[in-house]
Amino acid sequence: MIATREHSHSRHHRQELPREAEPPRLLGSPGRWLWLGVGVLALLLFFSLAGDDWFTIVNYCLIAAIATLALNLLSGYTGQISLGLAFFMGLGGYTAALLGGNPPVGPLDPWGLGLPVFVWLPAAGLVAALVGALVGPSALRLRGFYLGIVTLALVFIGNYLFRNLRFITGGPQGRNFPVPTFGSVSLDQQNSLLGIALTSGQQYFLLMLLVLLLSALFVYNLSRSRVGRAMRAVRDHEVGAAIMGVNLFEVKMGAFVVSSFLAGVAGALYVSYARYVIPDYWSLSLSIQFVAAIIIGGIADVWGSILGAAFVFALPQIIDYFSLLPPSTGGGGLSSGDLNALLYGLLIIVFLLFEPGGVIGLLRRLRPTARRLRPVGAGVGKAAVNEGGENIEVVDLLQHAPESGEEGRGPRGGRTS
Amino acid sequence: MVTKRFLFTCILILLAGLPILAGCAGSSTGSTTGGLKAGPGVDLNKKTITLGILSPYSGPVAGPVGIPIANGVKAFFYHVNDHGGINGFKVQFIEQDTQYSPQLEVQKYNQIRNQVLMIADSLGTQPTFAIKDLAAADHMLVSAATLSSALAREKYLILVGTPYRLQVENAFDYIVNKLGVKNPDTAIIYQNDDYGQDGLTGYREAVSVYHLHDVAQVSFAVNDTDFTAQVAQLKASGAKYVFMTTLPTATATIIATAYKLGYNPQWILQSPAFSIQLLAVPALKPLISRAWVVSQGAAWGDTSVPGMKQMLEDQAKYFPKQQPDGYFEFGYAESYVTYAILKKAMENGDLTRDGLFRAFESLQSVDMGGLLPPAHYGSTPDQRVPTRDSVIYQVDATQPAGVKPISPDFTGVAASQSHF
Amino acid sequence: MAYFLQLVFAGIAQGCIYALIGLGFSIIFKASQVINFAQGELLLVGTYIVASAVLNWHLPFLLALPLGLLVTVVIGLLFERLVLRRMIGRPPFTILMITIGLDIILRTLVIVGWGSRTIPAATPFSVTSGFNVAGVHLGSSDLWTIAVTVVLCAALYYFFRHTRYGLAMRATALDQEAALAIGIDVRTVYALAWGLAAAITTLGGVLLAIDSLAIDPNFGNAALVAFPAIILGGLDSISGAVVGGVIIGLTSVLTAGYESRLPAVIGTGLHEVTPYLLMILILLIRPYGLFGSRKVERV
Repeated sequence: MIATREHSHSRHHRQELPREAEPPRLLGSPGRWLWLGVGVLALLLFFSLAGDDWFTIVNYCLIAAIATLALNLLSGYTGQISLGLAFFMGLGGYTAALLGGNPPVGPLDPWGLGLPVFVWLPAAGLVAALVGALVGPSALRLRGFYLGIVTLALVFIGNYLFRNLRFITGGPQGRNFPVPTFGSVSLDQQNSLLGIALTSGQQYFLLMLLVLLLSALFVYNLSRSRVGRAMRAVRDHEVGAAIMGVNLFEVKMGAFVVSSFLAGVAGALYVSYARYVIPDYWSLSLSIQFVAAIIIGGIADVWGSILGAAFVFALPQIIDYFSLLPPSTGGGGLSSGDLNALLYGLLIIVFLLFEPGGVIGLLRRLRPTARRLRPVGAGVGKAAVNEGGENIEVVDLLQHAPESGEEGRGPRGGRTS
Repeated sequence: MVTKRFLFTCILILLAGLPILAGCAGSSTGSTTGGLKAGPGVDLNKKTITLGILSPYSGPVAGPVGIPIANGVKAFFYHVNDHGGINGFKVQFIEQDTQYSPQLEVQKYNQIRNQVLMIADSLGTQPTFAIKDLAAADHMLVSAATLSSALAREKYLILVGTPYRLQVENAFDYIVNKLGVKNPDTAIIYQNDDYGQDGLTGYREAVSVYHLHDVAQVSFAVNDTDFTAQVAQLKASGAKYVFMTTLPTATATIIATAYKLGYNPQWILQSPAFSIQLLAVPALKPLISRAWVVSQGAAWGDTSVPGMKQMLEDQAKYFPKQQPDGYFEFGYAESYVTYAILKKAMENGDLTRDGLFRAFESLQSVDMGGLLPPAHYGSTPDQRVPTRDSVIYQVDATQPAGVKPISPDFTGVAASQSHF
Repeated sequence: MAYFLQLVFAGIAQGCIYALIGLGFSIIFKASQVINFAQGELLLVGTYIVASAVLNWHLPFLLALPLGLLVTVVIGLLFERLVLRRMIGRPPFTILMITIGLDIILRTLVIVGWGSRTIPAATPFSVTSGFNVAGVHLGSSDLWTIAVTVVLCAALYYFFRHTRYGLAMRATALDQEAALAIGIDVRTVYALAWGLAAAITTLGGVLLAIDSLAIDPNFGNAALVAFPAIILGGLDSISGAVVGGVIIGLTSVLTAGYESRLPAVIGTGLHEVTPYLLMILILLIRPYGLFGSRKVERV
C-alpha cells in the first residue's frame, strides 16, 4: 500500500514537468528501491561467497564499466563518435605507472616515483583530461565518422608513442606495476576491514566498486542537470541546440574532457589490477569493445553502461567458464574459444537486430506487465495497481513507458523504409 | 506476492552461489598422509596431481604454436600415466584458453590457481610476464614456453631452451669463428615488438663482441604487408648476412621481395621465423632453401637421440593428427623438466608448492632425452638461463622438419659471457 | 635515386591496393552512410578461397579469382539482405557495430576452416617476373595492380555516370527519399553497393596476397591502413578514395624507407603513423577531406 501511495505521489509530481526535462530516475520509486535491495543483497552474497576466479572476472568488468560510462557520456549523451577511448585509458595507465611505479633498479628499467594511490589515481584522470583538452578543439570541429576516424588515429599515434617512450612504458616488453597500498595496507595480502578479513580479490572489488559508484553518480547527476540537457540537445540536433542558446563548443569540449578524465582513471585502475602493462593492450579492438558496450548496453543510460560492460567483458568469460567443450580438440577443428567467438559475434548481430534499446531496453520490455499494459496508457494504470502484488511493476512501467521518447528514436522506427 | 517473489529471487541467488561456495571449500591447501606432504592440486586418496596449462587454444597463435606445445606436454604425461604414473600418482591437467592475451592469462591463472600444483605450460612472453608476480606470491612454479631473455630474472619461472638473444649471438659466432669470416657486413630486420627487441639486443651484443660491420638495423610493424622499403634499405646497405627476427608470414614476403629486387644475402632466421609451411609455398621453396635457421636440439625424426623414438611413438599414439612440428617437440621436452621436479619432490616427500620449488632448486641438470640439450638450473639470473647453445640448420625440403643441421651443437663466445 | 624511385613505385602499387580497399568502404558509405568494419575480413575470406582454389583444388588462377569474388559477393549480399536491410533507419553507430559482429564471425570461421597457420597465397606470376628500368625493378604483380586499379576506376566512373544502376546509386546517395519518390528501388541499390564493394575489396586482397606469397588470419588487418586513405580523400568520394589511397601508400612506404636515417629519438614504427598524421593535417584544413562533400555533416 505504501508503494502505491508513493507511486501516485511521484506520478503527480512528474506530470508537472515536461517529459524531456526529466530523464528516468536512477533511484526514486519504491520499485527501484526494491530492485536496489535485491541488487545489494546479490552483491553481498557474491562478495562473501565468490572465489578469486569470479572476482577476477567481475573486477575487470567493474573497471570496464567505468570506461564504458566515459564513452557513453561522450558518444551516448552528447553524440560525438569516438574510437579513441583506448588512447585516453593508455594515457591514464602510463601516468599511473610513472607516478606509482617502482623506482628503476637497472639503467634500462622504466622510471617510477613510487607515489601512493591517492596521487596517481587522480593524476591519471587529470593527465588524460588535459590531453583531451588539447586535442579536443581541433578534433571536435569534425563530425560523424570523420571524428570517429580521427579518434581512431589517436589510438595508432598513442601506440607508436607508447612503444617508443621506453623510460615510461618499458617499450614493447611492457612494465610492471606494484601492488597498490593504502598506508600499510597492501591490496595483494589478506587484510581486515572493520574486523572482517578480506581477500585480495575482495579488496580490489571494493576499490573498483567505489570508483564505479562515484563515476556513475557523477554521470547520472550530470545527465540530469542543465548541462546534461544541453548535451542531449547537441546530440539530437546541433543547429537546434545552438538556436536554443547552447554553446556547442563548450558542451562538446566539456563532454570530451570529462570523458577523457574517466577513461584515464579506468586505465590507471586497469594497470594497477593487471599489474603489468604493454603498449599493445591499448589497441583499436579495446576501443571497439567499449563502443560495443554502450550500444549493446543502452545509449545514454548509466545502468545501460554497466550492463553493456558486463555483456562485452564478462559474458565471454562466463561462457568460457561454463563451456562444455574442452579447450583443445587435439588437432584443429572447433575449439571452445572459437565457438565462443562465433557465439559472441552472432549475439551482437542478433541483439542489435531485435533489441534496438540494448540490454536496458530489453530488461524494460521483459517486465511481464509492462508489455500487457503498454498500449493502455496512464489513465488505466490505476486499475492495474489494484490487482495487487503487481504494483511494483506498474510503478516502473509508468516511469519508463515512453522510453522511446527519451532516446528520440522509435524502437521500430524507419523499419519499413 | 512481493515477499514471495523476493524469497524466490534470494533462493535463486543462493542456488547460483552454492557451487561457488563448494568450490571454495574444495580448495584445501595442504594435508599430510603417509609421510607425503601435499599442496593444492594433489589428491592423496585418488593419487592424482593436477597441473595447469595456460595456452592459446583459439585465435591466431593457437594453431601454429599454442596447441602443438600443449599437445607435446600432454603426450609426455599421458605416456607417464600409462606407465605407472609418478610413484603411482597420475598427472591430470586443467587447460585454459588464454588467446595469447595477457589480461586473459591473469584471469585464467586466478581461476585455476587453487586447483593446480604448478603450471606445466604458460605460452608466450607477454602473457607469462603478466602472471609472474602473481605466481611468485603463490610460490607457484611456472614452466614458461618462451625463449625471451627478459624472463630469466624471475625466481618461479622455469625456462627451457636458449633465449632469442643468445640465438642471434650464436649465429654470428658461427659466421665469425666457425666459417672464419672477419668483419662481415651484417644487418638485422626485426618486428617492432618485444620479440623483435630481444633479437635486436642480441644483435647489438654480437656486433660489439665479434666486431661485425653493422650496416643496417631495419624494423617493420606487425601489421605491415609491404616490405619494399625495408628490403630496399637492406639492399642499399649491402649486408651479406641478414638476421631475421620475424614471424613466418613476414619471412616469406621479405625473402621474396628481396629476390625480386635482385638482393640475395645469407638469410639467418630466428627459430620462430621459420615454419615448415613456408616450404609449401611453391614460389618460395627455391628461395628459402639457402636460408639458415638458428635453433637447437634434435630435428624431428632424428632417432639418433634416445628420446626421439619415444616421442614419435607417443605422438602417434596420443596425437595421431599432429604433423611434424618443432613446437610439439618443445612441449614434450619441456615436460622432462616438469617431470624431474615432480619426481624429486615426491622422493623428498614434499608435494607442496614450496617442496616443488626446493626440488627445482636442487635439480642441477635435467636430461631431455637429447630432444633439447641438457638444461642446467641455479639460483642467480645468469644460472637460470638453462642452455646457451645453438645449432645452425639449413632449410632443406627433403627433411621431415624442413631443416638439417649444418653445425654441431655449440655455445658461442658472446653467448657464454652474456649477462641477464 | 634508384632507391627513391623504387620506393615511389612500391608506394604507388601499395597505394593502389589501399585505393581498392578504400573504394569498397566508399561505395558502401555512399549508398548507406555506414562504415563497414567487416571489410578486412571479407578480403580475408576471399583471399583464402582463392588460395585454396589454386593450391588445393588445383584450379587455374583465372578461375579461382572469380570464385573468390563470388563467395565474398554472396556473403556481402546475404548480410545486406538478412541483417542490414532490417537496420535501415537505425543510428549509423549501431550499424557499424553490427558489421563488427560480422567481422568477428568471418575471422573465426577462417581460423576454424583453415587453421591459423601461415598458408601459401595464390600467385599467377613467378617472383622475379617484371622489368628492370634504370636500376628500378617493376614487378609484374605491381604493374598488374596498378593496371587493374586504373581500369577499374575507369569502369566505375562510366558505371556511375552513364548506367541506369550507377545513376540510381548516386541519386540514392544524394537523397534517399527523393530517389524513392522517382521510383528507384533503394533495396537494389543497397544490394548492389554491398556486392560491388565486396568484389572490389577482395580483388585488392588477392592482389596484395600475390606479393605477400603467404597469408595468415591477420591478413585482414590490411584494411585498417585504408582508413586514413578514405578519410583523406573524403568518405563519400570515389575519386577521393583512389587519390587518398595513392597518397597514403606513398607516405607510408617513403617514411619506412627513410625513417632509419632520422634521429634515434624518433624511434621505430613511424611509417605506421605518418598516414594518420597526414590525414589529421588535411582534416584540419579541409574537415571533409580532399574531395568529400559537406553533406556528410547531416549524418
